[in-house]
Amino acid sequence: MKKTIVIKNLHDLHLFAKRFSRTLRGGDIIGLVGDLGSGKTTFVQHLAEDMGVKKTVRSPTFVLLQEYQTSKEFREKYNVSRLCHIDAYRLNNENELFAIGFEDYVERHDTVILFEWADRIPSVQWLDHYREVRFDFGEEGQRLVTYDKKSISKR
Amino acid sequence: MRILGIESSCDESAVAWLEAGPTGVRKLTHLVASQEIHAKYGGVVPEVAAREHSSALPPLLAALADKVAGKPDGRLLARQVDLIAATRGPGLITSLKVGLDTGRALAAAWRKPVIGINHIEGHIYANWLPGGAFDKGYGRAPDVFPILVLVVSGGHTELLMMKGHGRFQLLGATRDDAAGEAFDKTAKMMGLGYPGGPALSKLATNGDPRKYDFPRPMINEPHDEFSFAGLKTAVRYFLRDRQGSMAEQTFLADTAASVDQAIVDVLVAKTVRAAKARKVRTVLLAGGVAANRKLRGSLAARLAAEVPDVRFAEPPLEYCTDNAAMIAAAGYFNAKRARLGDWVGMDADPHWELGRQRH
Repeated sequence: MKKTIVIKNLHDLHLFAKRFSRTLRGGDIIGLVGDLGSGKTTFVQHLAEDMGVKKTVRSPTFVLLQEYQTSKEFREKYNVSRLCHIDAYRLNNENELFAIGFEDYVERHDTVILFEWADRIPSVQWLDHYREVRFDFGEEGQRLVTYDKKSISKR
Repeated sequence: MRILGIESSCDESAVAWLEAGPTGVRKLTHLVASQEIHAKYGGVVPEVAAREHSSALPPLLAALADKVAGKPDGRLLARQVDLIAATRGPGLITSLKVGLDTGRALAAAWRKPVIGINHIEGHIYANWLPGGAFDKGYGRAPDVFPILVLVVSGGHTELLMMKGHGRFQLLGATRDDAAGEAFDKTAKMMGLGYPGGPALSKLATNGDPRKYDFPRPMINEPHDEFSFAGLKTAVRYFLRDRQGSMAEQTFLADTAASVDQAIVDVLVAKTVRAAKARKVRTVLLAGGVAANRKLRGSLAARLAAEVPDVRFAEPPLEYCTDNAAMIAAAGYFNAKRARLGDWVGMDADPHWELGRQRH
Protein backbone atom coordinates (compact mmCIF):
# COMPACT_ATOMS: atom_id res chain seq x y z
CA MET A 1 0.00 0.00 0.00
CA LYS A 2 1.32 3.42 -0.94
CA LYS A 3 1.51 6.17 1.60
CA THR A 4 1.98 9.84 0.81
CA ILE A 5 3.24 12.34 3.35
CA VAL A 6 3.58 16.10 3.14
CA ILE A 7 7.09 17.45 3.63
CA LYS A 8 6.84 21.12 4.53
CA ASN A 9 10.52 21.96 4.85
CA LEU A 10 14.05 20.60 5.04
CA HIS A 11 13.56 19.67 8.69
CA ASP A 12 10.60 17.42 7.76
CA LEU A 13 12.72 15.80 5.07
CA HIS A 14 15.48 15.21 7.59
CA LEU A 15 13.06 13.50 10.00
CA PHE A 16 11.63 11.32 7.24
CA ALA A 17 15.16 10.36 6.14
CA LYS A 18 16.05 9.42 9.71
CA ARG A 19 13.05 7.11 9.90
CA PHE A 20 13.70 5.70 6.46
CA SER A 21 17.41 5.06 7.08
CA ARG A 22 16.54 2.65 9.90
CA THR A 23 14.74 0.42 7.41
CA LEU A 24 17.74 0.09 5.11
CA ARG A 25 19.29 -3.35 4.76
CA GLY A 26 22.15 -4.70 2.68
CA GLY A 27 21.08 -5.47 -0.87
CA ASP A 28 18.38 -2.80 -0.86
CA ILE A 29 17.92 -0.69 -3.94
CA ILE A 30 15.92 2.47 -3.39
CA GLY A 31 14.58 4.13 -6.50
CA LEU A 32 14.23 7.91 -6.11
CA VAL A 33 11.80 9.34 -8.60
CA GLY A 34 10.84 12.98 -9.16
CA ASP A 35 11.51 16.01 -11.31
CA LEU A 36 14.56 18.31 -11.29
CA GLY A 37 14.78 20.14 -7.97
CA SER A 38 12.25 17.94 -6.16
CA GLY A 39 14.67 16.94 -3.40
CA LYS A 40 16.12 13.56 -4.42
CA THR A 41 19.76 14.46 -3.86
CA THR A 42 18.95 16.32 -0.64
CA PHE A 43 17.17 13.19 0.62
CA VAL A 44 20.25 11.12 -0.25
CA GLN A 45 22.46 13.62 1.62
CA HIS A 46 20.31 13.16 4.74
CA LEU A 47 20.26 9.36 4.42
CA ALA A 48 24.05 9.32 3.95
CA GLU A 49 24.46 11.40 7.09
CA ASP A 50 22.28 8.94 9.02
CA MET A 51 24.43 6.10 7.67
CA GLY A 52 27.53 7.81 8.99
CA VAL A 53 29.01 8.79 5.62
CA LYS A 54 31.79 11.33 6.27
CA LYS A 55 32.34 12.62 2.75
CA THR A 56 30.20 15.33 1.17
CA VAL A 57 27.50 13.73 -0.96
CA ARG A 58 27.15 15.71 -4.19
CA SER A 59 24.90 15.35 -7.20
CA PRO A 60 26.19 12.38 -9.20
CA THR A 61 24.62 13.53 -12.47
CA PHE A 62 28.03 14.11 -14.04
CA VAL A 63 29.96 11.19 -12.53
CA LEU A 64 26.90 8.86 -12.77
CA LEU A 65 27.94 6.63 -9.89
CA GLN A 66 29.59 7.37 -6.57
CA GLU A 67 30.50 5.04 -3.73
CA TYR A 68 30.66 6.02 -0.04
CA GLN A 69 31.74 4.19 3.09
CA THR A 70 29.31 4.07 6.02
CA SER A 71 30.39 4.51 9.65
CA LYS A 72 31.65 1.65 11.82
CA GLU A 73 28.51 1.90 13.99
CA PHE A 74 26.17 1.62 11.03
CA ARG A 75 28.21 -1.25 9.63
CA GLU A 76 28.07 -3.17 12.89
CA LYS A 77 24.38 -2.53 13.44
CA TYR A 78 23.05 -3.17 9.94
CA ASN A 79 25.89 -5.00 8.18
CA VAL A 80 26.00 -2.32 5.49
CA SER A 81 29.42 -0.88 4.72
CA ARG A 82 28.83 0.76 1.33
CA LEU A 83 26.42 3.31 -0.01
CA CYS A 84 26.19 3.42 -3.78
CA HIS A 85 24.66 6.62 -5.18
CA ILE A 86 23.56 6.36 -8.81
CA ASP A 87 22.03 9.00 -11.06
CA ALA A 88 20.40 7.78 -14.27
CA TYR A 89 19.59 11.28 -15.56
CA ARG A 90 22.15 10.90 -18.37
CA LEU A 91 21.54 7.17 -18.92
CA ASN A 92 19.24 5.79 -21.57
CA ASN A 93 19.04 2.06 -21.03
CA GLU A 94 20.02 -0.91 -18.90
CA ASN A 95 23.15 -1.66 -20.94
CA GLU A 96 24.54 1.75 -20.05
CA LEU A 97 23.79 1.10 -16.38
CA PHE A 98 25.85 -2.08 -16.44
CA ALA A 99 28.61 -0.37 -18.44
CA ILE A 100 29.21 2.10 -15.58
CA GLY A 101 29.78 -0.75 -13.11
CA PHE A 102 26.30 -1.40 -11.65
CA GLU A 103 27.00 -5.12 -11.30
CA ASP A 104 29.68 -4.36 -8.69
CA TYR A 105 26.99 -3.05 -6.35
CA VAL A 106 23.64 -4.66 -7.12
CA GLU A 107 22.30 -7.32 -4.75
CA ARG A 108 25.37 -7.18 -2.53
CA HIS A 109 24.57 -7.85 1.12
CA ASP A 110 27.00 -5.13 2.28
CA THR A 111 25.65 -2.42 -0.05
CA VAL A 112 22.65 -0.11 -0.19
CA ILE A 113 21.95 1.50 -3.56
CA LEU A 114 20.22 4.88 -3.74
CA PHE A 115 19.15 5.30 -7.33
CA GLU A 116 18.06 8.73 -8.62
CA TRP A 117 15.94 8.83 -11.79
CA ALA A 118 15.34 5.07 -11.44
CA ASP A 119 12.27 5.44 -13.67
CA ARG A 120 14.58 6.07 -16.63
CA ILE A 121 15.65 2.42 -16.43
CA PRO A 122 12.28 0.70 -15.86
CA SER A 123 13.75 -2.80 -15.51
CA VAL A 124 15.44 -1.98 -12.18
CA GLN A 125 12.06 -2.09 -10.44
CA TRP A 126 11.98 -5.85 -10.98
CA LEU A 127 15.15 -6.37 -8.97
CA ASP A 128 14.83 -8.03 -5.57
CA HIS A 129 14.64 -5.59 -2.66
CA TYR A 130 13.64 -2.66 -4.89
CA ARG A 131 11.60 0.06 -3.19
CA GLU A 132 10.58 3.39 -4.59
CA VAL A 133 10.30 6.84 -3.06
CA ARG A 134 8.55 9.41 -5.22
CA PHE A 135 8.94 13.18 -4.84
CA ASP A 136 6.21 15.49 -6.13
CA PHE A 137 5.82 19.23 -5.82
CA GLY A 138 3.06 20.35 -3.44
CA GLU A 139 1.75 23.82 -2.67
CA GLU A 140 4.02 26.64 -1.54
CA GLY A 141 7.34 24.85 -1.63
CA GLN A 142 6.01 21.67 -0.04
CA ARG A 143 6.91 18.23 -1.31
CA LEU A 144 4.68 15.17 -1.44
CA VAL A 145 6.69 12.05 -0.73
CA THR A 146 5.15 8.72 -1.66
CA TYR A 147 6.54 5.37 -0.57
CA ASP A 148 5.44 1.81 -0.02
CA LYS A 149 4.08 1.74 3.50
CA LYS A 150 4.65 -1.98 3.95
CA SER A 151 8.31 -1.70 3.06
CA ILE A 152 8.98 0.82 5.78
CA SER A 153 6.76 -0.46 8.64
CA LYS A 154 7.50 -4.16 8.34
CA ARG A 155 11.08 -3.82 9.51
CA MET B 1 60.73 17.12 -23.43
CA ARG B 2 58.23 15.56 -25.81
CA ILE B 3 55.00 14.36 -24.22
CA LEU B 4 52.06 12.30 -25.47
CA GLY B 5 48.85 13.19 -23.65
CA ILE B 6 45.72 11.02 -23.46
CA GLU B 7 42.35 12.09 -22.01
CA SER B 8 39.17 10.00 -21.62
CA SER B 9 37.79 10.81 -18.17
CA CYS B 10 34.26 11.63 -19.24
CA ASP B 11 32.68 12.24 -22.62
CA GLU B 12 35.63 13.40 -24.70
CA SER B 13 38.33 11.18 -26.20
CA ALA B 14 41.44 13.24 -26.90
CA VAL B 15 45.15 12.90 -27.66
CA ALA B 16 47.91 15.47 -27.90
CA TRP B 17 51.61 15.72 -28.50
CA LEU B 18 53.70 18.62 -27.31
CA GLU B 19 57.31 19.57 -27.06
CA ALA B 20 58.09 21.82 -24.11
CA GLY B 21 61.14 23.22 -22.37
CA PRO B 22 62.03 25.99 -19.95
CA THR B 23 60.89 28.63 -22.45
CA GLY B 24 57.46 27.09 -22.93
CA VAL B 25 55.67 24.93 -25.48
CA ARG B 26 57.60 24.82 -28.74
CA LYS B 27 55.33 22.55 -30.76
CA LEU B 28 51.81 21.32 -30.09
CA THR B 29 49.31 19.11 -31.89
CA HIS B 30 46.03 18.14 -30.25
CA LEU B 31 42.98 16.21 -31.43
CA VAL B 32 39.56 15.74 -29.84
CA ALA B 33 36.99 13.19 -30.98
CA SER B 34 33.84 14.99 -29.92
CA GLN B 35 31.01 12.53 -29.72
CA GLU B 36 28.57 14.41 -31.85
CA ILE B 37 26.45 11.30 -32.15
CA HIS B 38 25.31 11.97 -28.59
CA ALA B 39 23.89 15.37 -29.30
CA LYS B 40 21.76 13.70 -31.94
CA TYR B 41 20.32 11.25 -29.42
CA GLY B 42 19.68 13.84 -26.73
CA GLY B 43 22.60 14.43 -24.45
CA VAL B 44 25.72 12.61 -23.55
CA VAL B 45 25.53 8.84 -23.50
CA PRO B 46 28.18 7.59 -21.08
CA GLU B 47 28.03 3.92 -21.95
CA VAL B 48 28.38 4.77 -25.59
CA ALA B 49 31.11 7.16 -24.48
CA ALA B 50 33.02 4.41 -22.66
CA ARG B 51 32.77 2.27 -25.75
CA GLU B 52 33.53 5.15 -28.05
CA HIS B 53 36.73 5.95 -26.18
CA SER B 54 38.10 2.53 -27.08
CA SER B 55 37.01 2.88 -30.68
CA ALA B 56 38.03 6.56 -30.96
CA LEU B 57 41.49 6.48 -29.39
CA PRO B 58 43.36 4.25 -31.89
CA PRO B 59 42.33 6.32 -34.94
CA LEU B 60 43.13 9.50 -32.98
CA LEU B 61 46.61 8.15 -32.23
CA ALA B 62 47.09 7.22 -35.88
CA ALA B 63 46.08 10.73 -36.91
CA LEU B 64 48.43 12.17 -34.30
CA ALA B 65 51.33 10.02 -35.57
CA ASP B 66 50.59 11.22 -39.08
CA LYS B 67 50.75 14.86 -37.99
CA VAL B 68 53.75 14.54 -35.69
CA ALA B 69 55.91 11.93 -37.46
CA GLY B 70 54.62 12.26 -41.02
CA LYS B 71 53.06 8.79 -41.17
CA PRO B 72 50.29 7.01 -39.24
CA ASP B 73 52.95 4.72 -37.83
CA GLY B 74 53.13 4.05 -34.11
CA ARG B 75 56.83 3.27 -34.14
CA LEU B 76 57.61 6.60 -35.75
CA LEU B 77 55.51 8.37 -33.14
CA ALA B 78 57.31 6.43 -30.40
CA ARG B 79 60.62 8.00 -31.46
CA GLN B 80 59.10 11.43 -30.86
CA VAL B 81 57.88 10.69 -27.33
CA ASP B 82 59.83 10.95 -24.06
CA LEU B 83 56.91 10.69 -21.65
CA ILE B 84 53.30 9.49 -21.79
CA ALA B 85 50.74 11.39 -19.67
CA ALA B 86 47.24 9.95 -19.27
CA THR B 87 44.32 11.05 -17.10
CA ARG B 88 44.04 8.74 -14.08
CA GLY B 89 41.10 10.46 -12.30
CA PRO B 90 38.69 11.79 -11.24
CA GLY B 91 35.99 10.66 -13.65
CA LEU B 92 33.95 7.70 -14.71
CA ILE B 93 35.88 4.50 -14.01
CA THR B 94 34.96 2.76 -17.26
CA SER B 95 35.95 5.78 -19.34
CA LEU B 96 39.13 6.54 -17.40
CA LYS B 97 40.38 2.98 -17.80
CA VAL B 98 40.26 3.12 -21.60
CA GLY B 99 42.62 6.11 -21.84
CA LEU B 100 44.88 5.15 -18.97
CA ASP B 101 45.25 1.56 -20.16
CA THR B 102 46.05 2.82 -23.65
CA GLY B 103 48.85 4.91 -22.13
CA ARG B 104 50.07 1.98 -20.05
CA ALA B 105 50.13 -0.38 -23.04
CA LEU B 106 52.06 2.16 -25.13
CA ALA B 107 54.51 2.68 -22.25
CA ALA B 108 55.11 -1.06 -22.05
CA ALA B 109 55.48 -1.50 -25.79
CA TRP B 110 57.61 1.63 -26.33
CA ARG B 111 59.57 1.31 -23.08
CA LYS B 112 58.71 4.85 -22.05
CA PRO B 113 57.73 6.30 -18.66
CA VAL B 114 54.00 6.88 -18.15
CA ILE B 115 52.41 9.16 -15.60
CA GLY B 116 48.82 9.34 -14.34
CA ILE B 117 47.46 12.89 -14.32
CA ASN B 118 44.68 14.41 -12.25
CA HIS B 119 42.05 15.75 -14.65
CA ILE B 120 41.51 18.93 -12.59
CA GLU B 121 45.25 19.60 -12.49
CA GLY B 122 45.12 19.25 -16.27
CA HIS B 123 42.44 21.96 -16.50
CA ILE B 124 44.63 24.22 -14.37
CA TYR B 125 47.64 23.67 -16.66
CA ALA B 126 45.55 24.77 -19.66
CA ASN B 127 46.75 28.21 -18.50
CA TRP B 128 50.30 27.18 -19.41
CA LEU B 129 49.35 26.29 -23.00
CA PRO B 130 49.97 28.66 -25.94
CA GLY B 131 47.78 31.75 -25.58
CA GLY B 132 47.49 31.27 -21.81
CA ALA B 133 48.76 33.70 -19.18
CA PHE B 134 51.72 31.48 -18.30
CA ASP B 135 52.67 30.05 -21.67
CA LYS B 136 56.23 31.26 -21.10
CA GLY B 137 56.29 30.22 -17.45
CA TYR B 138 57.94 26.85 -17.84
CA GLY B 139 61.22 27.80 -16.16
CA ARG B 140 61.47 29.05 -12.60
CA ALA B 141 58.54 31.40 -12.12
CA PRO B 142 57.98 31.76 -8.37
CA ASP B 143 56.48 35.22 -8.81
CA VAL B 144 53.09 33.79 -9.88
CA PHE B 145 52.55 31.73 -6.73
CA PRO B 146 50.56 31.42 -4.58
CA ILE B 147 47.67 31.06 -6.99
CA LEU B 148 44.00 30.95 -6.04
CA VAL B 149 42.29 28.57 -8.49
CA LEU B 150 38.58 28.53 -9.35
CA VAL B 151 37.65 25.30 -11.15
CA VAL B 152 34.20 25.35 -12.76
CA SER B 153 32.79 22.62 -14.98
CA GLY B 154 29.82 20.30 -15.39
CA GLY B 155 31.09 18.05 -12.60
CA HIS B 156 33.21 20.38 -10.46
CA THR B 157 33.04 23.69 -8.64
CA GLU B 158 35.93 24.26 -6.28
CA LEU B 159 38.42 26.74 -4.94
CA LEU B 160 42.00 25.56 -4.53
CA MET B 161 45.23 27.09 -3.36
CA MET B 162 48.19 26.32 -5.60
CA LYS B 163 51.40 27.07 -3.73
CA GLY B 164 53.72 25.79 -6.44
CA HIS B 165 53.79 23.26 -9.26
CA GLY B 166 52.02 20.14 -8.03
CA ARG B 167 51.29 21.69 -4.61
CA PHE B 168 47.55 22.00 -4.12
CA GLN B 169 45.25 22.55 -1.19
CA LEU B 170 41.48 22.24 -1.55
CA LEU B 171 39.78 25.22 0.10
CA GLY B 172 36.16 24.41 -0.63
CA ALA B 173 33.85 22.82 -3.16
CA THR B 174 30.17 22.64 -3.97
CA ARG B 175 28.01 20.88 -1.41
CA ASP B 176 25.55 19.61 -4.01
CA ASP B 177 25.42 20.57 -7.71
CA ALA B 178 28.33 21.90 -9.77
CA ALA B 179 27.93 25.33 -11.40
CA GLY B 180 28.02 23.75 -14.86
CA GLU B 181 25.26 21.39 -13.77
CA ALA B 182 23.19 24.36 -12.57
CA PHE B 183 23.56 25.89 -16.05
CA ASP B 184 22.66 22.58 -17.74
CA LYS B 185 19.64 21.78 -15.56
CA THR B 186 18.06 25.23 -15.56
CA ALA B 187 18.55 25.23 -19.34
CA LYS B 188 16.70 21.91 -19.48
CA MET B 189 13.77 23.41 -17.50
CA MET B 190 13.64 26.27 -19.99
CA GLY B 191 13.35 23.80 -22.85
CA LEU B 192 16.90 24.33 -24.15
CA GLY B 193 17.77 20.62 -24.08
CA TYR B 194 20.45 18.86 -22.04
CA PRO B 195 23.22 19.74 -21.53
CA GLY B 196 22.11 23.28 -22.36
CA GLY B 197 24.57 25.41 -20.41
CA PRO B 198 26.27 26.91 -23.48
CA ALA B 199 22.85 27.47 -25.13
CA LEU B 200 21.66 29.27 -22.00
CA SER B 201 24.72 31.53 -21.96
CA LYS B 202 24.22 32.30 -25.64
CA LEU B 203 20.56 33.16 -25.13
CA ALA B 204 21.58 35.28 -22.13
CA THR B 205 23.58 37.68 -24.30
CA ASN B 206 20.29 39.12 -25.65
CA GLY B 207 18.61 39.40 -22.26
CA ASP B 208 18.49 41.75 -19.31
CA PRO B 209 20.51 40.17 -16.47
CA ARG B 210 18.80 42.38 -13.82
CA LYS B 211 15.24 41.65 -14.95
CA TYR B 212 14.57 38.78 -12.53
CA ASP B 213 16.10 38.22 -9.14
CA PHE B 214 17.16 34.62 -8.59
CA PRO B 215 18.73 33.41 -5.34
CA ARG B 216 22.50 33.60 -4.98
CA PRO B 217 23.14 30.74 -2.52
CA MET B 218 25.87 31.27 0.12
CA ILE B 219 27.10 34.41 -1.63
CA ASN B 220 27.86 36.25 1.61
CA GLU B 221 28.88 33.31 3.76
CA PRO B 222 32.49 33.49 4.95
CA HIS B 223 33.68 30.12 3.67
CA ASP B 224 34.85 28.66 0.38
CA GLU B 225 31.96 26.29 -0.34
CA PHE B 226 29.18 26.57 -2.89
CA SER B 227 25.60 25.34 -3.26
CA PHE B 228 23.57 25.44 -6.45
CA ALA B 229 20.82 22.87 -5.82
CA GLY B 230 18.38 25.51 -4.51
CA LEU B 231 18.65 27.53 -7.71
CA LYS B 232 17.01 24.69 -9.70
CA THR B 233 13.99 24.78 -7.41
CA ALA B 234 13.77 28.58 -7.60
CA VAL B 235 13.86 28.49 -11.40
CA ARG B 236 11.28 25.73 -11.43
CA TYR B 237 8.74 27.71 -9.37
CA PHE B 238 9.52 30.86 -11.34
CA LEU B 239 8.77 29.11 -14.65
CA ARG B 240 5.69 27.33 -13.30
CA ASP B 241 4.08 30.68 -12.52
CA ARG B 242 4.89 32.04 -16.00
CA GLN B 243 3.93 29.19 -18.33
CA GLY B 244 2.15 31.67 -20.60
CA SER B 245 5.40 33.45 -21.38
CA MET B 246 7.43 30.38 -22.25
CA ALA B 247 7.14 31.02 -25.98
CA GLU B 248 8.28 34.65 -25.77
CA GLN B 249 11.88 35.15 -26.84
CA THR B 250 12.37 38.27 -24.70
CA PHE B 251 11.12 36.43 -21.62
CA LEU B 252 13.43 33.46 -22.24
CA ALA B 253 16.41 35.72 -22.95
CA ASP B 254 15.80 37.79 -19.80
CA THR B 255 15.38 34.62 -17.72
CA ALA B 256 18.56 33.10 -19.17
CA ALA B 257 20.47 36.33 -18.54
CA SER B 258 19.17 36.54 -14.97
CA VAL B 259 20.07 32.91 -14.20
CA ASP B 260 23.49 33.38 -15.82
CA GLN B 261 24.02 36.50 -13.70
CA ALA B 262 23.00 34.73 -10.46
CA ILE B 263 25.45 31.86 -10.99
CA VAL B 264 28.27 34.17 -12.10
CA ASP B 265 27.67 36.55 -9.16
CA VAL B 266 28.15 33.69 -6.69
CA LEU B 267 31.30 32.39 -8.40
CA VAL B 268 32.81 35.89 -8.62
CA ALA B 269 31.89 36.98 -5.08
CA LYS B 270 33.26 33.82 -3.48
CA THR B 271 36.47 33.94 -5.51
CA VAL B 272 37.10 37.63 -4.78
CA ARG B 273 36.39 36.99 -1.08
CA ALA B 274 38.85 34.10 -1.02
CA ALA B 275 41.47 36.19 -2.84
CA LYS B 276 41.11 39.03 -0.32
CA ALA B 277 41.21 36.69 2.68
CA ARG B 278 44.53 35.18 1.65
CA LYS B 279 47.79 36.45 0.29
CA VAL B 280 47.76 35.45 -3.37
CA ARG B 281 49.65 36.76 -6.39
CA THR B 282 47.34 35.26 -8.97
CA VAL B 283 43.72 34.21 -9.42
CA LEU B 284 43.38 31.52 -12.06
CA LEU B 285 40.26 30.26 -13.80
CA ALA B 286 39.96 26.68 -15.10
CA GLY B 287 37.41 24.17 -16.41
CA GLY B 288 34.72 24.02 -19.07
CA VAL B 289 32.64 26.88 -17.61
CA ALA B 290 35.78 29.08 -17.85
CA ALA B 291 34.61 29.61 -21.44
CA ASN B 292 31.61 31.59 -20.11
CA ARG B 293 32.27 35.18 -21.21
CA LYS B 294 30.24 36.77 -18.47
CA LEU B 295 32.25 34.85 -15.87
CA ARG B 296 35.56 35.88 -17.44
CA GLY B 297 34.56 39.52 -17.76
CA SER B 298 32.98 39.90 -14.32
CA LEU B 299 35.79 38.12 -12.51
CA ALA B 300 38.45 40.21 -14.26
CA ALA B 301 36.59 43.44 -13.49
CA ARG B 302 35.88 42.68 -9.83
CA LEU B 303 39.44 41.54 -9.18
CA ALA B 304 40.86 44.65 -10.84
CA ALA B 305 38.62 46.83 -8.66
CA GLU B 306 39.10 45.05 -5.34
CA VAL B 307 42.56 43.43 -5.46
CA PRO B 308 44.37 45.40 -8.20
CA ASP B 309 47.78 43.87 -7.44
CA VAL B 310 46.52 40.37 -8.11
CA ARG B 311 47.04 39.00 -11.59
CA PHE B 312 44.10 37.28 -13.31
CA ALA B 313 44.73 34.25 -15.54
CA GLU B 314 42.13 32.65 -17.78
CA PRO B 315 42.70 29.64 -20.04
CA PRO B 316 42.64 30.05 -23.83
CA LEU B 317 39.07 29.33 -25.05
CA GLU B 318 40.37 26.47 -27.17
CA TYR B 319 41.58 24.59 -24.08
CA CYS B 320 38.66 25.18 -21.66
CA THR B 321 36.76 22.02 -22.45
CA ASP B 322 38.27 18.56 -21.99
CA ASN B 323 41.38 18.04 -24.11
CA ALA B 324 44.68 16.16 -23.96
CA ALA B 325 47.01 19.14 -24.49
CA MET B 326 46.34 20.21 -20.90
CA ILE B 327 47.07 16.65 -19.72
CA ALA B 328 50.40 16.70 -21.59
CA ALA B 329 51.23 20.14 -20.07
CA ALA B 330 50.46 18.79 -16.59
CA GLY B 331 52.69 15.84 -17.51
CA TYR B 332 55.59 18.25 -18.09
CA PHE B 333 55.31 19.65 -14.56
CA ASN B 334 54.90 16.18 -13.03
CA ALA B 335 57.61 14.48 -15.11
CA LYS B 336 59.91 14.09 -12.13
CA ARG B 337 57.51 11.56 -10.58
CA ALA B 338 57.52 9.32 -13.65
CA ARG B 339 59.47 6.07 -13.56
CA LEU B 340 60.04 3.44 -16.20
CA GLY B 341 57.92 0.43 -15.34
CA ASP B 342 55.22 2.43 -13.55
CA TRP B 343 52.76 1.09 -16.11
CA VAL B 344 52.64 -2.25 -14.27
CA GLY B 345 50.76 -1.31 -11.12
CA MET B 346 48.90 1.78 -12.25
CA ASP B 347 45.13 2.00 -11.86
CA ALA B 348 42.45 4.60 -12.52
CA ASP B 349 41.14 6.49 -9.48
CA PRO B 350 37.61 7.75 -10.12
CA HIS B 351 37.51 9.62 -6.76
CA TRP B 352 40.93 11.33 -6.92
CA GLU B 353 40.42 14.71 -5.23
CA LEU B 354 43.15 17.23 -5.97
CA GLY B 355 44.55 18.93 -2.88
CA ARG B 356 42.43 17.03 -0.35
CA GLN B 357 44.43 16.43 2.81
CA ARG B 358 44.68 12.73 3.54
CA HIS B 359 42.99 11.69 6.78
